[in-house]
Parts: sequence; structure tokens; C-alpha cells
Amino acid sequence: MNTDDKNSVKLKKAERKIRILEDMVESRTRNLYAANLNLKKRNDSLREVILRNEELEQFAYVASHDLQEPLITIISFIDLLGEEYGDKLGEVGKQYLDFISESSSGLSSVVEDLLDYSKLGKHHEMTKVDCNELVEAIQRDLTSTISKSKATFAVGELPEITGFKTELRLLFQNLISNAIKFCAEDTPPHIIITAEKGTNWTFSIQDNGIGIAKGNQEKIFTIFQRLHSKNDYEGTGIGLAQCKKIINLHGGEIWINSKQDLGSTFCFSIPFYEHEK
Amino acid sequence: MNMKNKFHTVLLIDDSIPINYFHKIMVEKSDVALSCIALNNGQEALDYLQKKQDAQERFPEVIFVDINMPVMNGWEFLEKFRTNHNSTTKEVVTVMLTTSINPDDKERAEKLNVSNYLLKPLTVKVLDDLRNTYFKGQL
Repeated sequence: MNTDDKNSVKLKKAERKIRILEDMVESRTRNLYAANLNLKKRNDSLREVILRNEELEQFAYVASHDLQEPLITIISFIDLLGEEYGDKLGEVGKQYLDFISESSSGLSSVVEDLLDYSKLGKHHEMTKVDCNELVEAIQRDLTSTISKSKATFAVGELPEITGFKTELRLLFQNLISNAIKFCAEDTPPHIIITAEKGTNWTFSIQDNGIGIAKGNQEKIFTIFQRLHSKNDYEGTGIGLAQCKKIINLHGGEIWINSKQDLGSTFCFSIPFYEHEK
Repeated sequence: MNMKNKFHTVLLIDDSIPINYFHKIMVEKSDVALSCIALNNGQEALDYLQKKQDAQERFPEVIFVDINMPVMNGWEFLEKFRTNHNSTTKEVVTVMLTTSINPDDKERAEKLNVSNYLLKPLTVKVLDDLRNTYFKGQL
């Protein structure tokens, strides 16, 4: 082969390499373009979600105030009516007033709970939370309930975790309150609280109460879902919905192991914070 | 004759007519004041207080003010009240009334040195407690 031929071959090789490179660049450019479009879409969705959230917060606040004020008016005047004109109304009339009063109070509780629920997580500061201290504080708060129900506790060693303190307190408090509230008729509640370290923190709150049938175990976490009549157990049915929202806030999961009449164990997981891993 | 201590005047500020009406009844039932004035917005209240100042008549000892009112809300009223009547405001007991306890509002009220932050509606018991806490013996 003479020099011209050698150069010609070299040139062809170079040209081929250039074409391959050009193809690669084109392909990468296309990929980048698609990725960029994707990011833009995600950005738009995120912006929409943020706007919706802000709307909801405003809505909840305004709704709560605008609902509560007329309710307060109704309740106040029904009470006054009963006090000042009760004799003129007679038994039947007073019963009518009682129904109105009860319903209005019930409505007021629901509105209040809805507002609290919507506010969960608004304090976006994560801090270190000593779970043993948390449980002790809750036990102090519930002193009279605990002594009335003769409830006993076995609390294991609980970790210090990173999370939203107010919300975590509400989480533990709701689960502990439930364990006390839904106790079996002749058996004082005994509550076992433990924590396990695995790929995350898993907490268990076990009781010896009335348990929850399999068919109901999903819906109890729904807002305002109650399994029992208000006469049997008080409350609006928001406790577990709050727990679920709080767990979601922390990126964890909540589930239940339970059999009717054999007690329940509520479990929830809290992921490690970055430096705890 | 009722020998309990009584404020000379209490002022109610709320845009809800029925709630003002109800609170007035509660003030009468609890017998905490000789006179109870009910006004429907912050501006009316400021005008009333200005008239009192101009005539050199005494201010109400206790002012109950609703937080959420149109045109001028409770916060705005308090700020204007402080600005216009700085020397007298320290002697007046201000009570903010709300339909729902909001920790942010509570903190804001404390920072403004509001005497009290309470849930509506006022009750005879609440009014009694306020009287026992704040009555200064000048009738």
C-alpha cells in the first residue's frame, strides 16, 4: 500500500469514528431533552400540589372558623332556651332541645378535629425525640384515666429518634389512649410498648383489649370511621386517621395485628434519619 | 343588695350580633359590670373610646374583642388602640376571643401583652374568674 492509500484508509476510519460520535451525541441529546421534559412535568405537578396544599390550609382554617361561629351561636342559645324557658317547653320540648344541643356539639367536635387533622405536620421542624420520655409524659397526662381503668404498662427500651415532636406525641398518645379505652369488660388494660431496630425503627403497642376483626382492620385508619356506637365508646373516630397521617409524614408505615376479643398490636415504622443509619 | 365587686363598664366587640347579645346576657347574669356596651366592629370601638377620651370619661376596664372581624380584625384594633391611647391602655384588661384555639394566635396575643386569650362563648364562670383576677377596687 502506498502513502496515499494508507492516508485514505486512515481518513475513512476517522470519518467512521466521527459518525459514531455524532450518533452518540445525537442520542444523548435526545435523552437529555426527554429527561428535561420529564423534569418540567414533575415541576409543574409539584407546583400544583403546593398550590392545592396552600388552598386546603386556607380552606380548613376559614371553614373551621366560619363553621364554628354559627355553631357556637346555636349551642349557646339552645342552652339559654332550655334554662330560661325549659318549664314552658315541657318534657318533649326539652328532649327536642337536647337532640339539637347534642347534634350541634357533635358537629363542633368534628369541625375541631378536621381542623386539627389538617394542621398536622405544619410545624416542619424535625428534632430529636426521646421516646421513653415521651411515653412517660403521656402517662403523666393520662394519670386519671390510667388510675380509673387500672391500666398497667410494660415499656421496653425505646430509642431516641428524629421526627416531629408534637405529632409523635399525638401518635403515641392516640395509640395508648385507644389501648386503655378499648379494654375488655372485666380485664384491666395491660399495655406493652417495645421497639426494634431493623432496616428502620419498628414500634409496637400491644394491648389485651377487645381486638379488631380482620374485616375492619383496613378501614379503621379512615377519617371519622368508627366501629362502635357513640354510646359504647366516645370519640369522633379521628385518632387512627391522625396516626396514619403522622406516620406518612415521617415516611413510615402503620399496621395492626389483631383478632377479635384477643387484643391488638399496633405497629408502626419510622425510617432512620440520615445520620442514624 | 349584691356586694360583689363590679367593673364600671365592659366593652364587647364582635361582628356577630347574636354573639354580642349572648355575651351581654352573660355579663348581666354574672353581675360583673354596671354597664355593658356592645359594638360590632373595631372602628366603632375606636370611635367610642376616642369619645370617652375627649370627654375625659373613664374607659371600660375590660374590653372583649373578637379576633376575626371584617374591615378591621382584633389584632388591628389592638394596635390602633395602643397607638391612640398609649397612656391608658395599660390599665385596660384586654381579652381576645376566638372560636378555635390556634397556638400561633395565642403566641401573638401573648407578645402583644393581651391579658387573656379565650374561647367563645363567654360564660358566667369565666366572667367571674376575670372579675376575681382583675378587679382593682375602683368603683
